[in-house]
Amino acid sequence: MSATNNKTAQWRLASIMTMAVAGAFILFVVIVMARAWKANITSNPTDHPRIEKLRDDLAADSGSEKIITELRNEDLALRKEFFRTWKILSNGVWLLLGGACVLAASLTIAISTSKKTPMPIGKSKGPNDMLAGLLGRVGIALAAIALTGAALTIPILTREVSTRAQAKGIWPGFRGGPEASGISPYTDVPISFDGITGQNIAWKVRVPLNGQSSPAIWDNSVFITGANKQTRKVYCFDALSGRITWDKSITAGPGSTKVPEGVMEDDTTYAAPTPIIDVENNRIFVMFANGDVACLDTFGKIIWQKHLGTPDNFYGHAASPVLWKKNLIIQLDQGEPDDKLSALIGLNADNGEELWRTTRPVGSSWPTPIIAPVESGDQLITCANPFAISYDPATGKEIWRVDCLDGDGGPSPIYAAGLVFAVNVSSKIAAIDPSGKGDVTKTHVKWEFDEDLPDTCSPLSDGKLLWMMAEGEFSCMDVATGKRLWNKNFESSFYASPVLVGDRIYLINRKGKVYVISAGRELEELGKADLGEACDASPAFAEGRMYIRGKKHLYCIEEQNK
Amino acid sequence: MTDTPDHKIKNILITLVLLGVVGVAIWAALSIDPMGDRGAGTGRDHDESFQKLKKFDLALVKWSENLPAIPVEMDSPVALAIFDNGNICIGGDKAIAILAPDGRKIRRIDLKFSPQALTVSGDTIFAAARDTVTVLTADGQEKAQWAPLNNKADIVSLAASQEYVYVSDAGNRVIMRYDRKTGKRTYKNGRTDSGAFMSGFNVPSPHMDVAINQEGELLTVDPGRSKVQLRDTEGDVLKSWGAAGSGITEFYGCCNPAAIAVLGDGSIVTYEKTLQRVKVYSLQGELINVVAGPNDFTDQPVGKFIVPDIAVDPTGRVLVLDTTRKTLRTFKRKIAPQPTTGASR
Amino acid sequence: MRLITAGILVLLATSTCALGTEASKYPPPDLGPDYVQPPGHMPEITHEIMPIVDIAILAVALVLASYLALKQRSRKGIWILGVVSLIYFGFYRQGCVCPIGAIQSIAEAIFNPAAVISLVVILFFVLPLIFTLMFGRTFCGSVCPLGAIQEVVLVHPVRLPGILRHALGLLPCVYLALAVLFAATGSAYVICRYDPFIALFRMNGPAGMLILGACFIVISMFVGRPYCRFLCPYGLLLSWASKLSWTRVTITPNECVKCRLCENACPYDAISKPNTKTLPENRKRGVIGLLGMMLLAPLVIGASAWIMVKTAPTLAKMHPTVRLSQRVEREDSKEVSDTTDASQAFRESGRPVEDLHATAAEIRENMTKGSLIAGLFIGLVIALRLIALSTRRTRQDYQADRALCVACGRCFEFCPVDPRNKKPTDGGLA
Repeated sequence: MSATNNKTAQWRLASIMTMAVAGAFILFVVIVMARAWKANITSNPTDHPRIEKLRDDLAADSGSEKIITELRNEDLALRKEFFRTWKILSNGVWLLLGGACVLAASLTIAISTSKKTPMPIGKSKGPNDMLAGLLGRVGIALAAIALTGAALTIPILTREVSTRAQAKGIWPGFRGGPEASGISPYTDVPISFDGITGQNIAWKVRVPLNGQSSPAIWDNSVFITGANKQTRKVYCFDALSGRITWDKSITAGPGSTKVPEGVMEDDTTYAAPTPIIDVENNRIFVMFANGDVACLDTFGKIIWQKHLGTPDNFYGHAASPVLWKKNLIIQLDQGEPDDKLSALIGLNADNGEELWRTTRPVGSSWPTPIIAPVESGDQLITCANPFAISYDPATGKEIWRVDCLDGDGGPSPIYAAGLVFAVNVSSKIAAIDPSGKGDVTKTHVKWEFDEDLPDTCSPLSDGKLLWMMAEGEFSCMDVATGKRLWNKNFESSFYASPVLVGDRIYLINRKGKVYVISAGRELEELGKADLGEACDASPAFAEGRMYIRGKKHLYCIEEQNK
Repeated sequence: MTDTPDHKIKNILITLVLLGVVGVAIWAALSIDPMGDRGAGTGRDHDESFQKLKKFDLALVKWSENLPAIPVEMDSPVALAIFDNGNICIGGDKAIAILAPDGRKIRRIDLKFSPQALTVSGDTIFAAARDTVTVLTADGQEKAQWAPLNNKADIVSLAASQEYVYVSDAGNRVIMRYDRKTGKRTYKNGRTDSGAFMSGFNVPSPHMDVAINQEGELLTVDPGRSKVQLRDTEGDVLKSWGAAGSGITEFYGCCNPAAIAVLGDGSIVTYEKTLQRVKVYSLQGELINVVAGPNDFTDQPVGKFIVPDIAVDPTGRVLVLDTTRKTLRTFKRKIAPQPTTGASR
Repeated sequence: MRLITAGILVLLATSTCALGTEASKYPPPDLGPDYVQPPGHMPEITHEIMPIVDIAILAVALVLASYLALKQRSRKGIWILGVVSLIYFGFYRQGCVCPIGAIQSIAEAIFNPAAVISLVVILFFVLPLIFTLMFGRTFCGSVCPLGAIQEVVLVHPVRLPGILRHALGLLPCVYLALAVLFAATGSAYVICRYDPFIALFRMNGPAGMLILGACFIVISMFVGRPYCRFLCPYGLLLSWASKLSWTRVTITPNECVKCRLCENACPYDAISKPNTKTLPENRKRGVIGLLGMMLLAPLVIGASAWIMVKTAPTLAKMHPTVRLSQRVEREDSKEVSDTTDASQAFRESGRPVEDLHATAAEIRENMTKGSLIAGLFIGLVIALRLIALSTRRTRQDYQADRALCVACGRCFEFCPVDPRNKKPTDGGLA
């Protein structure tokens, strides 16, 4: 009897020791596997931050052999690590299984050796069937209640409500769309913000590729373009988080790869034209300095793309495309007037096919054309040395022209109070009555003014007053008379066009300093803000938000203490 | 069970462990993504790589589209054929439109059926509905209607020689030969048995073009195998060439080339769907040059679309019926081609 | 049988031939000039014989299990057979085909005329049911790999309170109803998607499934067969079959001596004590209780059906088309600014959106109809259980519960009655 007991005790001891060893072994394997698992996850080369960074670098400086080599090496190293840890994991599973088997076996032995023969004590009470039945019914009732609860709450839990607040607001293109007035319908925008301290900055993100184009906004999406010599990209940022929702490379045709000559990479850039949105048809249109035009849907799918030939423009093509109904209109001015290269091109917005083309009597130019909703019908107004010319946006037929411009200027025309205002640095600003036909230089210019004229910034008007920013000299004029009311020198250089937000004007200089002044007959400074980064692009607006593209980053400005 | 303090502690411990594990189990069950809704994130990559495939050596492009595209006033144009005088014949929408070489409208022939395939020879038009070939005069008079094929038939291409009309039936994956005058089916080497004139084609999707060259030889496409075949009048293969691939010398993806046409010097123009390319090959299957590349076309939707047709006109222009843009595109050789000695016309 | 086997063989042979031509039919996808296509290889044809081997092994295992449990009464034998099944059906055949999942294929085949079902799946579903109708749940005891893995790891059984047991006991019925509903509407095979052990059998799978499996193992160490008792939808079907079975496992090979040794032997609470000594005090109360439950029944059934119909729109989301339709709708209304792989693919297909929404609406309608039936079914089961719990049957001795006993044989070794003797031995309670 005692011999059997002894033997049992030995078995028991042995099994307990085996259990301890197996347990320790399993623990060890688990720790090794956990480490390998972590390393495995972090070494996934598809979305590794180092690889992402190198990809960005490569996009910014494509063709750099050094970055390519670095990328390859990094990728190989990560891949090796990935598969090494993967192997550890897959081997670990077997070791774990083996350990578990030993543990289970020793546990079974330990339990069976310590099992005691059951010895019912006392008198059996016998089952209480009544109570058991009652408890069972209560159990079922509780389960039914719990299931009902689940059935009623799951629909609420799985309902796909927009957990995020919706960003709202449409800013279809350069200076707010085809009319390009620079007037924001959204006025709930903070006066003060600071890109360095983060005051009233909802988010700030790096735009991978450089460009002067302004953002175009459609609710949750912020569209912007960027390019270098080889790569052209359209980006869609999420308006709420600033995350890139998608990006798309554009190479529209055989000629796309040809690098346009003379483009000032740090000034005009290869991506100066601002995208334009067709809200009704879910489309966005973009253009680049190399002559590539593309149409994408809002999900980033390229609907069509077209290469219009490499523009011969000595600063780089800058005019944004304009959308009028189904016509995508491109003012492709290039070369010298005698070259007869400049043209206004109407493309079918649906498929990019050329609908009409009108040769223009001008050389290279940079202003974006605008659509002026003149009483007699919409007109497309273009500016280029030496003419302001109006066209029928449906056919491209010329309506009128005024010989009033001179020099290499960038200001786009504006339409306010029934007048077209065309301006350029080394000439004058002309208030043109757009009701004429043919050459109306002598007949339809209501007034002219020739002091402190802008070379880049477009003018701004609320219908009564007109403002211009010329190399730091900001002036306010009476629209009706053309008399200057006041002027102020900000003693810095400006590229971004002034914008009117309610009764305020925002001015952003090239260093990113922002001046907010009242839009009145008298000058009143309302506040100052600082982007903290150089800025040449005009701002864009949406409900409660202002978007500014700095030299490197895109900023979303929103009142943070609402 | 005795309720010693030891047991109590043990039971409480086990209960706690169980509750914890049940909690983890519920979390784990909820974290499973059984439908893969979180996605694999591959969509963008594919699109990017497709864009990459569009690249090729642009020096090969020896043709240009110097005329504006001619709008085709049809909802679904499908077939294209050219008369000897250069007039253009476009089929679709229960009609045939006849245009002058410069795109001017000449006439519209309304039909009872929607033509799926067209060919012209002299001043006779052969138009095919899904299963029936109809013979028309150039001004639209119906001359004859041939006996319909079986109900699996799907006629996708026609080609006419002096004697015969070849009917490509993608539904049955065969090509039949008809006597042009009687409209009776004829068989290989004068045989009179039933069955197809030619079979054995691999036809994964409904297009399988057929053409005739100046020698009266037959050109067929085996789209599933990405092959172009030159055959004698009895349908025996003389030459077969073509390989699947994205390279400019190859035919991309499934079922290409989708359409073929013959140039005056006997070289062959091919059109590929999806990665849209129009290329010229020699009879031996060497790539001579490229007429148009993917960037000249609007990307076709991945699902259903009408496969464009191509044709060559008497002046040597390549015409592409662009079914996505619904226009007729005209491509002309950039420099005049070298005079060919072999041309028989 | 030979005819059937020959038929299957011919079928398999033709299907593999079809596969062979299919592979060479289309050129491989083009991944650019730099990519070298790896040489293709066909799956080995010998593999296709496996389903037949599986059926044969299943049949043999069922016979053996029934023999070991009913005739041999060998706990050890049952345990070993369980381990072998676990290794073969679980780890070697990786848990597929299994009768539990076959429920879904059967349901889909019944409700969707386009669905195809193989004979193997039908046999996997039917064979255990037939055996259970004859011999009780011997399949659960030692053939089912899911049962076996839980059986093997059970080291320290704790008893769950009756109230919890009955509450959790309702889950298999809900799970069965949902699984059939989802399979019949073509939405999903949830039993397979949430099989807790499949990831362990395959030693692979999403982290969530592996963790779920590990959790079930830990729970099974203390709670006997948690999956079988509180989730398994096939177990529910088998428990009904077992109630009607021709014969079944008994605790004692002979006459029960009421020695009470087996009282705590069953970790699955499947041993019912004799109740001859404890007659209900109040018969009238019992009758009133029963009548009450019977009157409650229509209410329970109606409520259950109503709740299920209310839940139908949520359940419909299990269908990929419905989810896609909702996603596309959200994208179109600009509620979200990005796309998913599915919506992207849909948009590229060029299929009209209205078409998608129409299909989704049709599925939702089917789901509502199906939910009504599922709700009626769940309600009926609840009502019947409530009624059953209000009735009382007299038990003379210790009995294995007909529905709950899984024929694991643990109680055999506790019974002092010698199977060879007709007369009960004098032992146990001395």
